[in-house]
Amino acid sequence: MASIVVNRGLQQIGRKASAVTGTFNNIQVMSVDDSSNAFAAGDTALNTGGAVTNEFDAAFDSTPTASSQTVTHIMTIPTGSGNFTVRRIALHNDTATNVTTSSTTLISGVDGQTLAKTSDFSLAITYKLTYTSV
Amino acid sequence: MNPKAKFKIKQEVEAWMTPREGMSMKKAVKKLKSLGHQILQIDEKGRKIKVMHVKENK
Repeated sequence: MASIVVNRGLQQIGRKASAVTGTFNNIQVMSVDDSSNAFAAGDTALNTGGAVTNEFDAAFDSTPTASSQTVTHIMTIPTGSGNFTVRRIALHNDTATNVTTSSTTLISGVDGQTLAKTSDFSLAITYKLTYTSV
Repeated sequence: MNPKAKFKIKQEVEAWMTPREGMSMKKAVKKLKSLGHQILQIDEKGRKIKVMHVKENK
């Protein structure tokens, strides 16, 4: 299992924070998909490492919150959507309309999961990023 | 000055399933187990069941 902030994500976060000239969108969308491919540092889109069959993405339920160095993002998949085995969860810095399996919007992701979702359930995912010294 | 100052972004992800309206929590847990889920926590009051928790400790 990989849990990684990809190089593109690090670049976007750094440039956004320092207001570098250019357009760097906020992190605002979470996606789930059923790809068995592991995320790698050089990935820029969900399908960089291989084709993705099923994918669902949506804007966060509400504005992310922060406590100390941790930022919390929550997205809920309704009963009628995302009904496949979720293997990867990811964050993106573009609107849900623009996020696709091939969009260059990837910030970070967790792979190697096996979360079977059916229409009997809604699924709420909490995704925290903690910025810490090492 | 610490010339080796570094920082890291740690990730932590949790997933909670909420059964559709009309489905009891008991039935929901049974259904989730049949789907292969690990039941990590049950919040009866909040009608939700935790099925995933990934945390980076390093």
